[in-house]
Amino acid sequence: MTTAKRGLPDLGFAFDPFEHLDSARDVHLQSYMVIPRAVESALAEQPLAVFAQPGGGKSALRIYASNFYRDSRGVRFPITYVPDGYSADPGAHFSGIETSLARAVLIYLVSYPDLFSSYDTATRREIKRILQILPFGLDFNLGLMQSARFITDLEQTLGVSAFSGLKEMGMSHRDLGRELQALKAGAAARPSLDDQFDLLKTAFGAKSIHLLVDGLDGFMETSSAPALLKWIEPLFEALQNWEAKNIHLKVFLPMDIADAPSVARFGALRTATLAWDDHLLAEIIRKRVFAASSGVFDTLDAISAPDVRGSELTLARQLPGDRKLPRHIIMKCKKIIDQIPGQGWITNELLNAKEAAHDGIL
Amino acid sequence: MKTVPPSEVLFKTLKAENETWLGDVFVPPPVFERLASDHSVILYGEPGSGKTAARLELMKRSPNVFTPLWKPEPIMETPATGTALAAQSMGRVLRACVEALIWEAGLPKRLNEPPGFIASALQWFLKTCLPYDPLAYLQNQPGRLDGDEMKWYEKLLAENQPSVITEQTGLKDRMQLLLSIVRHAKYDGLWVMADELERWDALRAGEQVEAQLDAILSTLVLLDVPGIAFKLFLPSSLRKVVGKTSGVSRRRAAEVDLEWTAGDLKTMLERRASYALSSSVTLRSLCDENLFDGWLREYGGSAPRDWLRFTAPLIAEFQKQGKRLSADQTRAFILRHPAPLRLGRDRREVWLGKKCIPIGSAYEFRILDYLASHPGKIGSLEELYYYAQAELESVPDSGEPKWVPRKTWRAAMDTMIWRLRQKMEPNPGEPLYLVTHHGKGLELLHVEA
Amino acid sequence: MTEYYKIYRSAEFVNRHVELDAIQSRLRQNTRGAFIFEGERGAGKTSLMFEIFRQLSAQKEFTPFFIGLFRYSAPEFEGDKKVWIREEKNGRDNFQPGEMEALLEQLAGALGDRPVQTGNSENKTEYLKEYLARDLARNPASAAPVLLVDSIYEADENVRTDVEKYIVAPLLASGRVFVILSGRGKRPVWSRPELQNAEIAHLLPLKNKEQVREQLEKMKSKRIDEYETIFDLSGGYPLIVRLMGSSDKSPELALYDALEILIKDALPENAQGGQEFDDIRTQIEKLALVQIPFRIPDVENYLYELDPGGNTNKLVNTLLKSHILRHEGKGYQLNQSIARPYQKWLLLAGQNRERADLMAKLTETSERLQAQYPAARSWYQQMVPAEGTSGGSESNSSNPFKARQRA
Repeated sequence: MTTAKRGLPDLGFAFDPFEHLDSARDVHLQSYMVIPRAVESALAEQPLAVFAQPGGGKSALRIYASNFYRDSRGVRFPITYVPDGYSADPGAHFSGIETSLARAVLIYLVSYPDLFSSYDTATRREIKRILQILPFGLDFNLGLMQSARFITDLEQTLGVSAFSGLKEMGMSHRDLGRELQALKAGAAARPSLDDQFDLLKTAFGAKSIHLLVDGLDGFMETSSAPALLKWIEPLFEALQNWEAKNIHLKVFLPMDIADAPSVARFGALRTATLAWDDHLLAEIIRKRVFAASSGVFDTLDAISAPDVRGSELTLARQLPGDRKLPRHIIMKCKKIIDQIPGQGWITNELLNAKEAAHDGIL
Repeated sequence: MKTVPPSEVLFKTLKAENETWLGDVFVPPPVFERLASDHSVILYGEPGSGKTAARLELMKRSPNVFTPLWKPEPIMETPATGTALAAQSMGRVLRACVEALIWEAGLPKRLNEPPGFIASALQWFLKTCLPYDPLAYLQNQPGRLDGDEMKWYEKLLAENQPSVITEQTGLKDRMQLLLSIVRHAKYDGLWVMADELERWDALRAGEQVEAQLDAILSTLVLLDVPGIAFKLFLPSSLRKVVGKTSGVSRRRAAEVDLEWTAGDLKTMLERRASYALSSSVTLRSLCDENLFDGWLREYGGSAPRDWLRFTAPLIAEFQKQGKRLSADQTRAFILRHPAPLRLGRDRREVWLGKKCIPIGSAYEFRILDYLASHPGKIGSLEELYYYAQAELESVPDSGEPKWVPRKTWRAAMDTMIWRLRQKMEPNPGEPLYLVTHHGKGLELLHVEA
Repeated sequence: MTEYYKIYRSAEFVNRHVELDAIQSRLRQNTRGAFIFEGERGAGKTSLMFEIFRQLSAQKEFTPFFIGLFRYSAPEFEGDKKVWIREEKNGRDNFQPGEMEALLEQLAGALGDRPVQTGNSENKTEYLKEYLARDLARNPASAAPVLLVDSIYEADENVRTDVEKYIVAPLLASGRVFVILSGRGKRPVWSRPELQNAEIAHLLPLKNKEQVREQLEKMKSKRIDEYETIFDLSGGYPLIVRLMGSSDKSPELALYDALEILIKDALPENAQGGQEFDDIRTQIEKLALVQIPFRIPDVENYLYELDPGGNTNKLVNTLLKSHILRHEGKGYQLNQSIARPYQKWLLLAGQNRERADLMAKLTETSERLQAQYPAARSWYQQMVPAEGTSGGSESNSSNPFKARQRA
């Protein structure tokens, strides 16, 4: 343990810029995410497959995109679908998407709890029918809504984030809960997935819907490229039909299936590759430093000895080809920051120090 | 007032689960900080390297995290494969979590009167994850819950709650729901601990246990629930399976090695010694530090177990004598308590404590093997010769076909014994292990029982 | 006390054709975009923002809305429902309860007359804000909204993030929308990608004396004949030109007054007078001579020989917060709109006294640092200004926007 190491405030940092490798837990993601130009289309109004190596930032981009859409207050409506298990049933994805949609609908209503009562009865009934497939059942979620104090309780249980900045569950939420509970769903059948998408547009004012699909390769059954391709095909087949209705599929996939012919078969699907070079990696450091210093400086040079220049590029260039990934540059920086002695700064020696044989992971 | 256990306990039990005073003497391994992060971590260590101690200390230092212990076991019914096996294994994990909720989490106090949705969730877990009827399960372990707690559970189970989880509910949601209960009980998060895997070796049900770990760690959704982390304390031998899972390669779980520096190990035994002697002592104040420390480094390996085991008699000696052992006394002590000897028969190795000595020659090794399997026996040169050369359990009579005149092998036997001593004795001139009883034969001493 | 110069009058507005043309062409060619005007204190950012607003107000394909985060006087727009200027004098405080809601309501009214959904809730303003932001995002206005937010860099962090969260982000959900921001000092940390990638134009001071003459003419200054001297001393910063042009004192004293007003206005209230102000002013004089971005250890001895450590830290923090100092790559640097006129003033007022002393001390410091860091020798050699420097003029091109911030 380095006892002499400098504290973050001494270095001018309000938080540790290199703390998070895991985007899901990173509250600063939105302010320092670097999006390579090749994948900027992930935020555009079009279907897209994003390919990346493991650790290449797929999930970070997915979370970033979802936050980005949420900021539009649902006008561009994000639905995140990460399959919860593997099933060979070709309809599995669509029922998974329905569940994700139900989560999104509930969290939207909770974000603007007064909206519900302004809808006509038919719409309200349709909403209730959609919500019936929520995980743990509608009653459980309504119970949670009525007894929880904070909206984060619901966010955590449902695994989705709210659209508005409301923090506490208030009277409106209890009213919403009661209304939903009391409402008769009616005898009508569950609306089709297409009808559910339509409802997002008519009731919530969504102009486009963005289906963010990730984690498809996270199962033993789908670790091989052919198996994975076979599994996602039903989604690709729905793509064109969806696009015509401003429903855009954004699917995040491992690099090894990028060149598969069956991906190319779906003409409507644009593809982009999340790839990193030295300059982008240097940009990752600079943005993090910028955010952590509250915009006071944007380079490690600022906390380096006078003769140190271009420290970010120096660090990026040191990474061997197979390690030119965000996580490795972040780990490298973390190590360097940890080694700055008390009262000291980053020196050329520190910058060029040989790395230990096997790197840590966290 | 704390009760100080006697030094032989402090240095010998080394069953971390029994060491209530562990926190007072715990020396965090270099990787401890990473273990305590809120990520999933796999800690590899050899037996005796202090995995369980690290786990207990981690639990102690994270009182606001709910830390159920899952002891993986082979699945008796037909085990599934792939994601289905992950689901089956998670069933076991959930069971461990629910049992820990009952016995360790103090739910009645923490939840008091839970809101309906928490009550229904908890009821589901109790009714579904326990091995048999939940009420019977609770009643079968009398005394573990007090009357009020029992009543609390009886009331909870009697309530007519809707079932919140269906066949369709995925693994992640199940974990998420459990986390909701845990958070409602005012814990910050949930760490599933896995330990005690050493029981399963490859010959028994090890492969099946490995497959469970493999399935869980290859199902990324399980590792992606914020608030839930897995802390797996695994024998190093499992790295070959676990290290290849996508959970590890995609960095959902970090692999770290439980390794100790000689400095850490010394600090550890000094803390224990200080605790045992109720005063602050260092190795230097007990004996000749250089001699003893050098000896520990050579034979004690890099895990705490042997360092502590070898030091226990030193503490006793120190207490008996009432003062520091001089250099000569330290040397004499070491000679009286040499590192125990063990044979590695698969690879023809002699282990002195944690020091490994390869014995290349099969004949030489058979000499040791014979003596080791007849503890307390003085083996005559004849016995040893016939066993080593001809694999005969007894010496043939002259005239039997296998009988060979003594003069033809005597010199070769002497050479073999000389070579063995060169290889394994700390001081071949004054053998400690392979000793000669003049006119009778050889005896192998300090063989580990 | 120093409010009188913070005023916009379209009749006095000069010399920003390049920027105005660039904005107009972008608004016509693109469907959406974000633009930022950066510039030193007194470079004329607010005036430019008002001028853009004035011009767009006359064009029916746009609905401009002006948000001023600092008090500023614009008599022409008084009562205009599309202009919202904060009452807060220095804009450094958080939005007060109700303030953002009022702004959002005014903005919603300006962009289209839609009913506002109000919350049936205990925390009314909080809810109102959220619903208004949602309405803003669903904005169906036929004319493209152009949001102008002035001085956002200098605003309190919470004010800035609230503006981003409740106004800019929802507004950017529209298909056709533009955001124009202005600020000096440190660049804020945006979370919106559009703002991170906004086109940035740097507003430079007036680059020739004829422009200064034009400004003096338009403001009907009595000192119009001295335009060459004023150009030289002011460094071409319109705000200093205005202050000097309306002063009766000698050029040296007029410049001194102008600098004092600029500095005082930037400083927090408790540092605007007395011993503390005198100390800050003296140190700014010294820093005006330092030619390279410096770090605290570089200048400690130069600034506070007797008691270096804590004092330098404190000074730097105060100046940073006041946006008089900013971080530039390797260290801090004084704003050019203060540094350049100050150097002029030192030459003028101190030819035979302080300047020479200060230069000698700075030279000493520079030599010490060169010895201490041999590898950085050439860097520290540039620390001391050449005799008689006024800080050269920068070039200007017909496209004021850099391609993109991170290009």
